[in-house]
Amino acid sequence: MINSLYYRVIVDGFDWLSKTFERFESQGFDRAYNVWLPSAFVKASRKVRKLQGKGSITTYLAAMFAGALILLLIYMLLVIYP
Amino acid sequence: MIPTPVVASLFLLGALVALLPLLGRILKGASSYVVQGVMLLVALAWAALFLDGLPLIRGTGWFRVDALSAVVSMTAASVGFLVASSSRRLRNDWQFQLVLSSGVLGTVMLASSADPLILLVSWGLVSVSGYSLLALAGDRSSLVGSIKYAFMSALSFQLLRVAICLMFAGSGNPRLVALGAMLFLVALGFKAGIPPFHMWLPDVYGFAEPVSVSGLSAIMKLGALALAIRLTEQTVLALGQPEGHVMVLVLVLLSAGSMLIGNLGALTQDDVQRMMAYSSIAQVGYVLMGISAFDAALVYGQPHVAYEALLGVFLFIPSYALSKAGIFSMLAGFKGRAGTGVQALAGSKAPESVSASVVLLNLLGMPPLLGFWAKLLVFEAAASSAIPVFYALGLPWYALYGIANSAISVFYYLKVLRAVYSSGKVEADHLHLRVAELGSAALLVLAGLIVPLLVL
Repeated sequence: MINSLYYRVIVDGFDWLSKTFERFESQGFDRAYNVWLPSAFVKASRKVRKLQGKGSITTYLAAMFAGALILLLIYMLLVIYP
Repeated sequence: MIPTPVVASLFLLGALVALLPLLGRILKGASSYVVQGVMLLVALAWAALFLDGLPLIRGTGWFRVDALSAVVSMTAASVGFLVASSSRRLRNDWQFQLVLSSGVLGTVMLASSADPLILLVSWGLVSVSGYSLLALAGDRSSLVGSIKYAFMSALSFQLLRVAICLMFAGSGNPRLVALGAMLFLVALGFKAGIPPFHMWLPDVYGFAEPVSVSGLSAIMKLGALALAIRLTEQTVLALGQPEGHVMVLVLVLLSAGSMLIGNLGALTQDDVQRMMAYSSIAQVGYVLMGISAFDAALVYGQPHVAYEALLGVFLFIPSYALSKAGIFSMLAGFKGRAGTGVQALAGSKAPESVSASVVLLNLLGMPPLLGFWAKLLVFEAAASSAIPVFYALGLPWYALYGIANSAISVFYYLKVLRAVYSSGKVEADHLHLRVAELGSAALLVLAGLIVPLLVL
């Protein structure tokens, strides 16, 4: 009876724990670190390069006006009407 | 009273620019040696002053001889020396030397002057030299890049004019000074390639003749960065506590955007020249991090943090300039340069491999190279617990953000390094480029070994 209890609780319990941890490590943490995280950065990188467009001056100007507008908004909100 | 070595160096540069149209026609290919000689003398004159002991940053006078102007002038002249040797592979050599010398003269003036008129003239001189450098290469990509750069420079020059008028004329009114400072940051954004004003940079640096890009990226930005340090310092001190925070916040936003966009843009790039163009954006982000930490330390009255941040920026400027001069000169040696794929670097010869490794590891911030000390000081200043805006949830978010961005950059710098050491056919033509490549690598190693003994 003690032997059966020992195998069911200790051996099977730790066996389950080991497999669960291994599954978490390989499919959770390992996968997140080696697959999900790099693919997220690759997607973000492609997005940045897509935003860059094909080098048209219109895009440069649009980005400039957007940037200048943001800076002026910050100036108005935090300096003029704080 | 302007010190004699400074007057002598300005006179030498001015005389060089005035006489090169005549000397160039007589000396032809040998004119680069004259330019290199003058650049060496200018660098030595500023180095002698620097070693003699200068204040870090001076607040008064129309011409400010301080450590900031010395570091920028020494760097511009040293990089000018290196780039002058690379230009011997171009057809119109003496014209290139003339434009390069004008760019260095403009940069030296921009780094030292506090007179609004001289600032505008110097900025204009640097801008004209920049797009002339590109146009002189003569190929289609460089000409297109030159026109794009000229267009954006003209816009930024107009903004700078308004900004300087507001900042100098409205010095009694903090609101006008703040508005002038915002417009100056837009003009700086164009010049230095800071997002969202950076859109021209990957197209120009990524496709134009690499020798021209080495001069443009390594010299023409330096004066604008020095001016940014001076003007933001003056603005923050003039505005005081509440408005000074706004200036710091804007600098932090620009720095964070620059690091992220630059590193993400380079991450999946296979063309090394375009990758290095994006890397330039990221590197300027680190410089801005140092400037924002310096200004924040002034707002919070933390002189030790301000000193550390400024020291970091002083080291970052030569580290960035020498690295870019080295890497773009190296890229110029590879045939089919418009598509300088990573594989084109495979099987590089031993000296080129070593210098490329040094330059790439320096950009990465690997000890004991100069880039490591620069990043260490900038990140340390950004992690200072005395500046509350750099902390969130008890963590130094700004420094951690910079470190995370450095971690992203490891992937693409190592991709290039792996290619350099992989086997393949050598396609490089390095006849005149070795001085720039090897010189920049040697200076980075030397400075990296000397800096901790001198300043840390």
